[in-house]
Amino acid sequence: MSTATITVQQRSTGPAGAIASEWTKLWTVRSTWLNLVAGAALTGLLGIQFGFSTAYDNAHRPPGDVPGQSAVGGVGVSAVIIMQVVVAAFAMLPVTSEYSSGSIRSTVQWTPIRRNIVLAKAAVLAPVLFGYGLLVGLLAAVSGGLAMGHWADWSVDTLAVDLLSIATYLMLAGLFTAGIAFLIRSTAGTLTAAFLLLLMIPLMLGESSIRALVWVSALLPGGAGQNFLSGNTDPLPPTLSLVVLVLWSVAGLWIGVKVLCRRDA
Amino acid sequence: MISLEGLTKTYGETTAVDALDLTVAAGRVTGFLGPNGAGKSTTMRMILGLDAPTSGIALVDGRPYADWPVPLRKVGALLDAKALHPRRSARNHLIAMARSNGIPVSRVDEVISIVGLATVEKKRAGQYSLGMGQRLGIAGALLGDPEILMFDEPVNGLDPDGVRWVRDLMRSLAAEGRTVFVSSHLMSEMQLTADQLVVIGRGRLIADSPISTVIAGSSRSSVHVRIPVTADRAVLRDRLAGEADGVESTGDELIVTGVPAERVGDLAHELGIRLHELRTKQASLEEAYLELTASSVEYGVAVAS
Repeated sequence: MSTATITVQQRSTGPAGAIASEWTKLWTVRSTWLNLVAGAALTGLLGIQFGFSTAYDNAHRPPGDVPGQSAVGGVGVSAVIIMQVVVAAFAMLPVTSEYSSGSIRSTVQWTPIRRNIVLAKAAVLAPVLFGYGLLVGLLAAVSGGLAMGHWADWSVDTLAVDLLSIATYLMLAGLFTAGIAFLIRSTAGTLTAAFLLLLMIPLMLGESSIRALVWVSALLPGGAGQNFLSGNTDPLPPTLSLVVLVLWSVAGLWIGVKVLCRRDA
Repeated sequence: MISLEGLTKTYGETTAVDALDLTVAAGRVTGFLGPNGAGKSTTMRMILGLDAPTSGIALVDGRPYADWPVPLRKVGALLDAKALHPRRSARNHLIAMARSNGIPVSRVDEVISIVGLATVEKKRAGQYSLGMGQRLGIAGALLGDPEILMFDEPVNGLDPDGVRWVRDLMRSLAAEGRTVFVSSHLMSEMQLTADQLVVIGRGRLIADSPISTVIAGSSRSSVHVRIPVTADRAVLRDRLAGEADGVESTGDELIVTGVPAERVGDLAHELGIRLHELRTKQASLEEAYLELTASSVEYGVAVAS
């Protein structure tokens, strides 16, 4: 009755099986697609908003102050800083939905080497988040550029660098969020943490006149991301901001591995 | 084969599983019984490595579950039929499961048809009824064509047809030489399905015996002998007093516990006593079980077989 008519292989698939499984899981729930649509729509709208406001500001300057054109990729950067919370939600859902539904127990049963679960989720998320970043960056740049009209600078080199930076940032911020999602487990809690660490705290502290707080902001993932994206050199050059970001995502995933391996599923 | 050595799990002050030593052999259905909170699910979870034992080890075919290169090929388990994403279709759930262990997708179609979910495979798993969910969980357990199967309350929510189907499935899996370890609250069902019975109470082993021994060992299993001559009754009664656990006399009948009917018959023959009736009244598994677990609660001791 239950005898297999196929031969099930005896050789371990290692992390490859876990990665294939995570890939399948990601694309077989509707929330993945809804998030992509929502993220794209939001970025498009933000792009238009930033484009129009740039054009309006440029057209209403005091006489004699003649502004130059604005790179369209800059609109992408501005839009992404706002909409990154949607991407963070995208990155954490494969983790938090498993805790809320209890399916993490199935996952651990299928892939008992737990470190491979975190690695597989990261391996699937990394390219997808990078692609998501390219997509939303481009959407914001195009919608913003069109809204800016003749103030838009469409030079391809600058745009390419901006898009790659956006994609890199969203990938790293997403991996960090996925990592801490293993620690926090609940959707609401993880989203709150991501919102605070990626957006709110860096935004508040970054504007501070107290130097130490500016440093704290620059060393938080969101602050490092903003400095990296906007090319700020103070207090850290963009390359070091990128290093800070990488360290945060590695640390987030490391925490994910640690708590998943230690806790009863 | 599943082997547990000194398996213990404590949560703070509470001991859920207490130094459990147990071997679950291949080729038969082993029923796993115990009151709620006795530690059945915790034991199964430790076998799969979902929960880490506080001390002791759980091995499947000599190795921890996580050490097997293709774990789903070794152990298939249905512990919690609801441990899945409610908005993923049943088929996609099984495909994700198959890919995790390098199992071909064709096997997914196979197990879906084995459990009879082919017409609803595209439906979201969260919309499944309890019974359909159990079938999906069983499909997952069969997916890797495993040598060892564990089921926690598999007939929960199944209709009578489904119950019978699960019973036949368990029997045929064991007949194929697999290890089948199944917990249930339904004693009548266990009596029909299991060969071997493992009973735990408060995390401790109370019994690990063939089901027939458990039932025969119950004080509620008895031999009834009808003897028309009063004097003969007294003779047999005296003769049995030494070896029986108890001999009761009601009317023309003796009710003997702790001695098989064969022995009573032989003795009567030896003594030249005429019998009108000699029959065994078997305790039900439920009676035997309640007796076992009641005494475990009372004395808190583990007595194997």
